[in-house]
Amino acid sequence: MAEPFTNLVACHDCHLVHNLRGFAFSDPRCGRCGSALAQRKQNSLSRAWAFLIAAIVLYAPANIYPIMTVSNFGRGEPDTILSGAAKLLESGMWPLALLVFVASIVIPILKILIIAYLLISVQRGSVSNRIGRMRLYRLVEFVGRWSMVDVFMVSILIALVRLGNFAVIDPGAGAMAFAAVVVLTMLASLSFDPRLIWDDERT
Amino acid sequence: MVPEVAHDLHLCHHCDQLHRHVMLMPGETANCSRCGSPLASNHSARLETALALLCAAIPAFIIANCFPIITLNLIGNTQSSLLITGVLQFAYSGLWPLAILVFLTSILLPGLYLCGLLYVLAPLYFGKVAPHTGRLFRFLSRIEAWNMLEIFLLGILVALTKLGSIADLVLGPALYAFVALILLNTLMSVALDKHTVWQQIPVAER
Repeated sequence: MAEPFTNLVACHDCHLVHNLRGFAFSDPRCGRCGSALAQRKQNSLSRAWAFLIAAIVLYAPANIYPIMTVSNFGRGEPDTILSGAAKLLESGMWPLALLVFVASIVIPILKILIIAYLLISVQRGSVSNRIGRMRLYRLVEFVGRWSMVDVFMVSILIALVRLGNFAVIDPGAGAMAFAAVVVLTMLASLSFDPRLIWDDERT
Repeated sequence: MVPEVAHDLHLCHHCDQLHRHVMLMPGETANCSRCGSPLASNHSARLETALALLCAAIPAFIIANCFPIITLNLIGNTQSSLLITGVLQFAYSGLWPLAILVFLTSILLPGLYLCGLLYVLAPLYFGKVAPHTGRLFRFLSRIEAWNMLEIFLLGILVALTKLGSIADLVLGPALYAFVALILLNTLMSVALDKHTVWQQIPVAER
């Protein structure tokens, strides 16, 4: 007797379930949205590691190079992410300082650590705390983009403070490196296939 | 080529657990039995609500981009800024990739999302499905994660607070339109039941 369901796959985009049993062709496509069907994201672990390592490499320049330079009558004062947060604190705007600190320093570090933990735990075939790891993954997916707030803040500052010699704000390379870190960690978490957390050891 | 379709089954897209499709009562939500991720829900919000919000969001988007967001006044010097001015400044300073990124995440992708959604939802309202809706809706779902309007708003707030202490700031019409746009976007994402939209798109079997 042939088993009725042997090889199910859900479309990654529209979630329509297909049965690959008896499918003799090479390129299975979703019948509803045309997406290429695959049971797991292709090369999920290697792509995620590549993005994550690139993000780690760029993390130092992102914090060392200034994200913007405030110039008063030609005298420039560069600001890194950390010094920008420190200045907010000095001006008494501690809620903002906290926001910038959390969004631009705490969250990226946490993201990198959590994604690394997820990748390592999957590669070691760990079966413990799957629900917890699931929750960590969902957290990373949701929270990661908010680190971009510093970049958008710089965007507004450089657009407004263009008052000739009197006061000018120019963006720095740190802003680009930092944006790259945020984008790369987002790509890393998008590449990671959470189904791998639930896979059992294949013998 | 399209393999055989199993309409009554559902695989959790986070943990691959197999479920059988069940009719949901209005207001009910189905979660994965193994990992708790949401599978589907039956909200009372309907297509009409999402479409109405969309029709309000599009003019808000146009105003937010075409008018000044803020005007700064510091000891007689005045400077206005549109949403796109920051992008241009990044470009002038030589940070081209960053300019493109900010342009994508704050202007282009949100705009494409609104227009694309209109193309998908408007025909559905009249009971028809426009050509290539499936592929377009798949593209829209993928760019959702890169729509960073709310984060931009937070960045504007931080910048305003930093500048407000040293300069006079006049909030422009675009800023109000921008806030409205974000509110409408948020309400729309709650009202739009993707599962319902997908179900109305025909499946080409074999």
